[in-house]
Amino acid sequence: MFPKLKLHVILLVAVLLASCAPAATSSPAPANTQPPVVTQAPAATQAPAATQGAVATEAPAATQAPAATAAPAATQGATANAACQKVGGQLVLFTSSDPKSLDPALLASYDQTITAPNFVEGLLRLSPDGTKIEPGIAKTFEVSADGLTWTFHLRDAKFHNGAPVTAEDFKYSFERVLNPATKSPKAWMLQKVVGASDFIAGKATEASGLQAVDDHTFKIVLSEASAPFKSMLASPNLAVVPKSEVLKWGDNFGQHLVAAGPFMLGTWNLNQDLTGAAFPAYWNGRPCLDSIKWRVIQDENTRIVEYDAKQLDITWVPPAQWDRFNGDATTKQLLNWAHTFHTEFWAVNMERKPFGNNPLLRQAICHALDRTAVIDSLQQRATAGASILSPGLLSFNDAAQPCTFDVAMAKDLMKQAGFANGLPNPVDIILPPWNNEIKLNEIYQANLKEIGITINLKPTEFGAYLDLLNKGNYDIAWMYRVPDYADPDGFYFPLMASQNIDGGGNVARYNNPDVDKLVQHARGSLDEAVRTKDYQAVEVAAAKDMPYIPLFHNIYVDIRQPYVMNYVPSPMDMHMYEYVWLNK
Amino acid sequence: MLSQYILRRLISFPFILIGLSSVIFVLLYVLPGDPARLMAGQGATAQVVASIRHELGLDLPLPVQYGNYLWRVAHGDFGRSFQSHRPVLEEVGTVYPKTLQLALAAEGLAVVAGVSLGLLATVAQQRWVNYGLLTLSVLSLSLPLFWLALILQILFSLRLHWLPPSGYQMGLDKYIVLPAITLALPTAGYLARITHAAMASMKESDFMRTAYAKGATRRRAVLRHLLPNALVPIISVAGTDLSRLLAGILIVETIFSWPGIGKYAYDALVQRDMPALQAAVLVFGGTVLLVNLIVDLLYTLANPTIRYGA
Repeated sequence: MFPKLKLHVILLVAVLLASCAPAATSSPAPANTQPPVVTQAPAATQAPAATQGAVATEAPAATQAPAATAAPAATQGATANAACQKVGGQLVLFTSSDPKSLDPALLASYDQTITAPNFVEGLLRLSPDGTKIEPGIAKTFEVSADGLTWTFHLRDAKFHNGAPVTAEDFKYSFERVLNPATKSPKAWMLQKVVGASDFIAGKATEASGLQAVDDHTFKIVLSEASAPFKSMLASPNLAVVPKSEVLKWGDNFGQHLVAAGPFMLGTWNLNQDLTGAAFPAYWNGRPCLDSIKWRVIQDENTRIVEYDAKQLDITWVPPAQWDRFNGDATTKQLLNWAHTFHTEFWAVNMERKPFGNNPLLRQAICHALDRTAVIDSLQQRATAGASILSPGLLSFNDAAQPCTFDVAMAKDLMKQAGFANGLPNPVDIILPPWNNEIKLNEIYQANLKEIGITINLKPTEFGAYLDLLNKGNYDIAWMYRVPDYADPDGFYFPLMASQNIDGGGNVARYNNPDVDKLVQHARGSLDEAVRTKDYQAVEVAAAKDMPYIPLFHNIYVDIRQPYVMNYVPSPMDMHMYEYVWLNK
Repeated sequence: MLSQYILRRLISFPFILIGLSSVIFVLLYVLPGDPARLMAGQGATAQVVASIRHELGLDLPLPVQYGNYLWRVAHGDFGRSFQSHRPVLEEVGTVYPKTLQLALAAEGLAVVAGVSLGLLATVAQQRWVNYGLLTLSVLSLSLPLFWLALILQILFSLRLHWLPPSGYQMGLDKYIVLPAITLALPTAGYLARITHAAMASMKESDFMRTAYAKGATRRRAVLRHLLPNALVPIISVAGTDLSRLLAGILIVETIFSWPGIGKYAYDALVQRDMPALQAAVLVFGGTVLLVNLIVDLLYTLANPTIRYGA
């Protein structure tokens, strides 16, 4: 009897084993979720400006801190920064995917930008609300009158391993970003540094324009004046890292990050969670929180359930939950808004007929789109776009009006464009396969039908979509842009300068020598008034030629638990938690 | 004989896996989407993308790339993830056991629940019990997983506060309960039907009559004679039900934030992280081959008249 019994047990176990094997599939079905598309959008007033030989002011003020007195204590010990009314506790957040690496030189993905800025710091940094460029490890800096020599005076800051941060470390970190072996996607941020191209080409062992004058003085010499350089220096990509740790960890440095930001890397379980611990020796005083933890939660509904179960302290509000949170007076107070630098628009391939050679046709489209209906469907979490430039950035023109929604006018423009009876053939619009975006584009699809243009929406897998965009294999493409740095140049240079056709970002393949000159001129000037004038002229040309048909600027809204204090979401997806404290 | 058969099957595995890997390689190459571009980001210049492509060796001709890949794999080097720069085997080694853990728990639950339900439905004297159980199994089979998952989360986490809504812990922790139940239900429903069908068809067969004639009790006849005979279809269904379970695992891992290989492979595909995806696929593939072999061998145990080899 027993052998038979045993056999049954073996069989059962075997059945278990058999059925637990995953099948050989290369493409796991994408779950019905998608990256948070409707991220951020800045109400940010005023733009980070390029200062003119200016001395940056000391002390980043804690944002919206109740009772936060200005100057943060310049303590080196474990004293918390001035914004903290209470110290301690853990803040639990989410990412949709694991950031995989926090190496500053390699940061590029959304999940990296929402986490990394809390661990790393460079010469300058963005204020948490994204409106100002603040001193980081550089206490002050001066720019020479010709805009070429930038001198930074470093404060006494420490790396997470206790070593002091010196000018030599900055030279090493910047050369590391330039070094092709690092494979940094952001090496271009330093390409105007004297000697950078020789260093990249292997003709020199150092970039001569990066100079450690002494431990506390770092000098950068540029080959041409560059106004957006200041905002690039505030990018986490140009954060400082200690050479000894980079050499020690080699390719694994991204998982064993040692840097100089307010939080130190704690435990990290792949695809599960990532923890940051308060850095006691942070130059601005330690953060209020003991730790932050990002849990990897891809599913929107799961995040809401976790929020409701108080297992998640801050979460993005998906459309389905909007009425519930916004409609209730108590929860409404917990919503946090950011007018983001995230702009959505249609790119028109200027090298393809019929749209590329017919500005009237593009104007007709612009006037046929009902942006109000779209914004209604976004539950007012967007503002209509008069241009591709986001509000909150230098040169943004409040007076500029978005294309009026006027079907009669659009039809008239169609007639003038030579298509009184509409377009004979249907047109494809490519976009990533994100449900929220597809729904919005269906509204535009119906709008264009009114003026005789039939469009087919072609949702295309994101990698494939980027390929089509960069190679110019499309007629019209829905797209969005968040600039790499908080400056108008982050929109106009990649999208409009003709040198960026074919992979540099000018996906419309727009080629206008006047615009090229204006964009170059604005880059080279440190005078805000001059730059504003240049960019507004670019905007006039863009409104006339319309290589990009502006749709709207996003507003990002998330919700916090009642005990989360002093939190502001970032307009650039770089949420900072240094000043956040827990009232419990 | 049997050992020769096993050996032959095992020898064929590397060739099948090489075939699989070349298919994946070509598919990834044909698919539009450039890993270097995805790494560099939307705004990067063409030169930056080209230099990253060069550093990754993606500018070499496809056969050379594939040859290099096979050479490295033959030496035990599956490469480093484009995204994390970490050895992919290390990463797969972290996530894969978690998928196995969940799958094993779910399948255990499914088999125990499914076979018991099927058994009950077969022996139930009252019609309504019979119909009730079968209705239940059809219901569990037809509920969409994401809906079921949400209902379970709301009920057990938000209302009753018994279980965490999502997350992961080592071992048989409370975190595994909801995902395992979600994943097990459809398979359990299916197994219940199969068990019931197999048993019902054999209930009147000769060996059962013989068993009763020998004086076996009803309980003994069912458990010792009917169930073992019904095992062959049950095993084959549980074995071939892999794809259903897998599809379920991907969804369940996402909803319950379970850090398994499904999510890992999905992210790798989206980012065109070729070494990571290749490694995940090879591990998947290897497991399926192994499991199929085990299922084939189990038939011989469940039904000695099935023989392999010579």
